[in-house]
Amino acid sequence: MTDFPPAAKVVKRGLAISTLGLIGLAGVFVLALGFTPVEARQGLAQKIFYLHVPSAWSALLAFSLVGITSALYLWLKDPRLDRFAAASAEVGVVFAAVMLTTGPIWAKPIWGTWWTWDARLTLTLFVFFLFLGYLALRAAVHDAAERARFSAVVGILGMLLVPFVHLSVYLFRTLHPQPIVLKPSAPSLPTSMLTTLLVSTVVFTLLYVGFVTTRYGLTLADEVREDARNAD
Amino acid sequence: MPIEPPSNGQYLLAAYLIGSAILLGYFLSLWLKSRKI
Repeated sequence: MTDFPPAAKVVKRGLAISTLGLIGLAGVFVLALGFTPVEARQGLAQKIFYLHVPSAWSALLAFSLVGITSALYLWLKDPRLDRFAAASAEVGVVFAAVMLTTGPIWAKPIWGTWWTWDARLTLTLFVFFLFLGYLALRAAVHDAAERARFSAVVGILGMLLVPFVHLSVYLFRTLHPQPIVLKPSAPSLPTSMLTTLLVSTVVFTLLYVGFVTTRYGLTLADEVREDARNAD
Repeated sequence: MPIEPPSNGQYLLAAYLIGSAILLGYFLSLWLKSRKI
């Protein structure tokens, strides 16, 4: 990490934040297993909540920020915005993978099925596929300006789906429960559960920041290396 | 002999292990890439 000092610094900072986040994740497991009550109807499976909900939060935050920075890129043409959008999309896909694997594992003992094609689940899967397509598009276009412009449009379209994912439980008949924290009335959770959920959400946000910072720095290093090669 | 379905605790363990493995795996992939710059 000596060739490109600014990029290396960003990567180092990102890895440090991510490490803190992973230590925090271990703390979340301790909190969830040791300090929150076992839910009366769902038993231990309910504790998947502390991993599933914050990963959904980070994924939807990531995809929303892809859309916002993509729109800003089309306006300002600042390559930093494109770099951020690309990093946020990749990290969002990782968090969506956590959401889409922990969800079915929770659903099986409670709903009796791994998957059901209802609005919330189907829309979430579509958003996941859309951002996989976003990453495939970026890998396929070699001209940097074209890549940034094309992917910005896809990024904005992806962001437009995010409110539908959140509101799908109100708009359609669905097996998925309605929000218990991000809703117009007060959160309907005992304090210990709510505290653990909030701690987990902070940890997942920290992981998001760490991962995006690292990914951003790595892309920056690649670009510097590419420019140096072209200059030779 | 009939196979017992997994308990709720086993589903919880599976979710925590898989979720952590995805996050840790991504962190390791970033860390490995960082060693090349």
